[in-house]
Amino acid sequence: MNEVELHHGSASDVGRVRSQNQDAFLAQPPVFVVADGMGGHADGDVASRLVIDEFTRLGSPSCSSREGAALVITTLRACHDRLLELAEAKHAAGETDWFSGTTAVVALVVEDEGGPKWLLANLGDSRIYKLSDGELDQVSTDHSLVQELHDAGEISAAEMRTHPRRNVITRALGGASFAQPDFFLLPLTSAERIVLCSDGVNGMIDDAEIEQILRDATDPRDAAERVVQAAVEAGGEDNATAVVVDVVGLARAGQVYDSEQQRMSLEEKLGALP
Amino acid sequence: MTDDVTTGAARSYRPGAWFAVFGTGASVLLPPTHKHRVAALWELVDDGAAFDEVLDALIASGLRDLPAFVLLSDGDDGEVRVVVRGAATVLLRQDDDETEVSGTAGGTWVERTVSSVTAVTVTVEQPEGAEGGAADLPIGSGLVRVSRVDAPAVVAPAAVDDAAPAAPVGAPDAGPVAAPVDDAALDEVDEARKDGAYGAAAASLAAAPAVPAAVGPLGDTPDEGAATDEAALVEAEPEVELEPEVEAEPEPVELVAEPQEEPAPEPPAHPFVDVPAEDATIVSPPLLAPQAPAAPFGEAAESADELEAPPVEPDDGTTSFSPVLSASPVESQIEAPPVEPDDGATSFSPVLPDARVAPPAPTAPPAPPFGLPDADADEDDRTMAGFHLSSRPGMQAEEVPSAPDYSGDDPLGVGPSQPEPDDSDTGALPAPPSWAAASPPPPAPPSWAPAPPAPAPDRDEDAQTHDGMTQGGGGGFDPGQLAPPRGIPGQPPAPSVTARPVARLVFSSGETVDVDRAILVGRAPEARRFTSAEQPRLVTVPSPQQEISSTHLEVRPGSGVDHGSAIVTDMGSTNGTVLVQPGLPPEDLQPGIAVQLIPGAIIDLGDGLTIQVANP
Repeated sequence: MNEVELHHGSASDVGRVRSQNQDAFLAQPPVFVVADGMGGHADGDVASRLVIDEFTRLGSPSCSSREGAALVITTLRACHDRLLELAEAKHAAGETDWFSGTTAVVALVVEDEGGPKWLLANLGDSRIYKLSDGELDQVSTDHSLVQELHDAGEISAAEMRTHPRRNVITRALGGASFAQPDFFLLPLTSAERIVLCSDGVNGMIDDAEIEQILRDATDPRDAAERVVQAAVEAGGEDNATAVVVDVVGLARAGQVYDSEQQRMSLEEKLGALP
Repeated sequence: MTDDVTTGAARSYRPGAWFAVFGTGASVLLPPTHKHRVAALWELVDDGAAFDEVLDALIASGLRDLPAFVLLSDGDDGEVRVVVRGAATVLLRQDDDETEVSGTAGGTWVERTVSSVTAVTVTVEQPEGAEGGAADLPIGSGLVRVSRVDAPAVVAPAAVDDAAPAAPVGAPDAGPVAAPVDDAALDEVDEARKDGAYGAAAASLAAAPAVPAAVGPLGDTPDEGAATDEAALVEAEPEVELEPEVEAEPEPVELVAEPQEEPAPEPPAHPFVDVPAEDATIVSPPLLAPQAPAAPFGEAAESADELEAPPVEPDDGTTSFSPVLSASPVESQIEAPPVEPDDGATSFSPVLPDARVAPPAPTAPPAPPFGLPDADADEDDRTMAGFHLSSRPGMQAEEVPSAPDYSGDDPLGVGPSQPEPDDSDTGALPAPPSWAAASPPPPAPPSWAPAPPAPAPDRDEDAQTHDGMTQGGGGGFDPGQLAPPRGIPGQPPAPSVTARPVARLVFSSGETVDVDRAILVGRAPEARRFTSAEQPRLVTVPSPQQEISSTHLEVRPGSGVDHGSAIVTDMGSTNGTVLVQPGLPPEDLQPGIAVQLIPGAIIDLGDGLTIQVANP
């Protein structure tokens, strides 16, 4: 068994327009989650926090890709059930307008006979990117109206940006019935870095900019911060959240990675060592 | 045989060895070797099953053990749809034309739809004594053994043969297959009979006018809009019978033959279909510690401090699991001081973050209270389809639909996605999508293709885009229709998981893998966009020279005409894939084009790696 090391960093910002940050995230290796809540008044973050709460309970699961997928489904379903209960209670109490929904992107390290893999899941329009050999690749596919119009050949990528209905998402948690997430499975070695982010990031800065930041920032903590900061500086029209995870310790062909050295350099950088 | 007379019966047959099942909606002819299937088909046909339903039943166990058949429908207004496979010929007469459909001309089957048909003749065997002594017997519905069939009936007077091998069953007054025919047409039928078109001679399809081949979905039509849960999906999977081939020879593989049209899906009354939750396939792992401690939330911290750089302290606590992970969790939050909503603010002096070090993960802060009241109404610019979300004063949330379908279940998980029209769509879309099935979905990119480039945010736009105005859904999408972009455009989706493997792959690297689901093969294969019910298998193969691509090819159970066998698709590999089918010259696979695999085939990925295809 190879020793796998995950270095990660996270950042979240309310942005410049919203009064409240309804995003939530979890970085609890091997589980990473970003949830982008929606709803009115103070209710928007109920669903997103609830997702984090449920995934926190997983602790540090060690499972195969199949078990991992079942685990993600079980957890999302628990979120769904709790949200449904909440909504029913609120509606019964006369708050007929009450609604709290959320997106969720989940990354989980699983172990198959073929070695460790990233099991990724998406529900909604938050995103999962991977950085491989310095190239950014959007792994997840948004569950949004414009994405579907685009997939159906109805609108171009450029039109996706300006479509009046681009705020409509087609799957999320918080609906009356459970929505199935999409899953993705990547060998851990095929992505030296993965990024989970809310649409407050990719809605404000384009992929080229995200890629540039991720290339320049070798430390995942810096990377997460800078990505979020760039989104805020670009207008900050929505809450922006990013979780960046680096896979280290799985030596790529021809390279030897010294995690001890990496940690030393981190401490130096942060002033803990002279 | 000018002395033939019409008897008023819908059709007549001439005794022979083949089985013919005549019904009101469709009729099917099977060769003598398929006696074991006839009874079930008769039951189906006699119950008035339509063309597609019978076709589904015919190919339910695959085409390989069904070397020949004829399926015939009578549509409205004399429109006849016919599918012919193997040594059989169907002659369709129109007023001034005729179309001959011969099964020997195609590798898989030949399908035609011809309108204004006045008479049909099906020849499955060289009729004995065609030049006399032939006894044409009238029949409505029923099951008989035949060598040839005519509709409308042609019956020589007093030629009823006592030795008719089978008594007609059922109502003899079935609706006529074609429009009533006049004597002239009858003569033409006779002419045609004398032509005795059969066999290889018939293979040269008469230069008939181009007939639009309205090919419907072959086999398992996707159950439009019906979301299936994982468990039902697995259970509902028909067993794939894989019998050794009796007499079928390996068919030359036909790449997608003709453009196929999907039938128009029924628009659902509402885009949402409720799906019962089904946990049967979910393994409840014993990992959910009840009341486990809550983890640090990534909450935005309130701070107006301006710092040059966030001092972060590494957390050297390591979290171990298998594979051993040492984590250095450090979360920092950037926080801008609360600012008044200022649409389109451009002069922003960034406030540098106040970083804080999150406590190390799992131990013990209690779960946070949810729904802390917040004085400020917060605006969200997004909405879920089917919901109005807004906190704007004066905007009302929409009633939650009674049974919104948020299932998103993708029971089959392949094929181009076909969003469905929504009756309730108000047409508020400026450019309402034409979901009409008449415009078939564009060829789906293979699943490995990177997602379409994300649109760059349009910063020049006015704040209308993010003004918190939320709109109701009514996008008209049934999430159940969202399929990963895989499969063959125009072909029905394949079952994602089959009850029994359809083939076995023997890798030169030593592995043996059964094909009961999608198998992705490569140097470091990735699987993209699958549902938990149809998780593909990843097979990593060695590639010392790096000649094999990371996700090189996919093998999956086939659908439609490929039902019951495995199909291989090159996933756009750099160096390509060579396929050697038994008895055929090697062929280079075209990226994204699936090819049916015959047992004994060899797939060459380069770098010395081959995969042999065997029976499971």
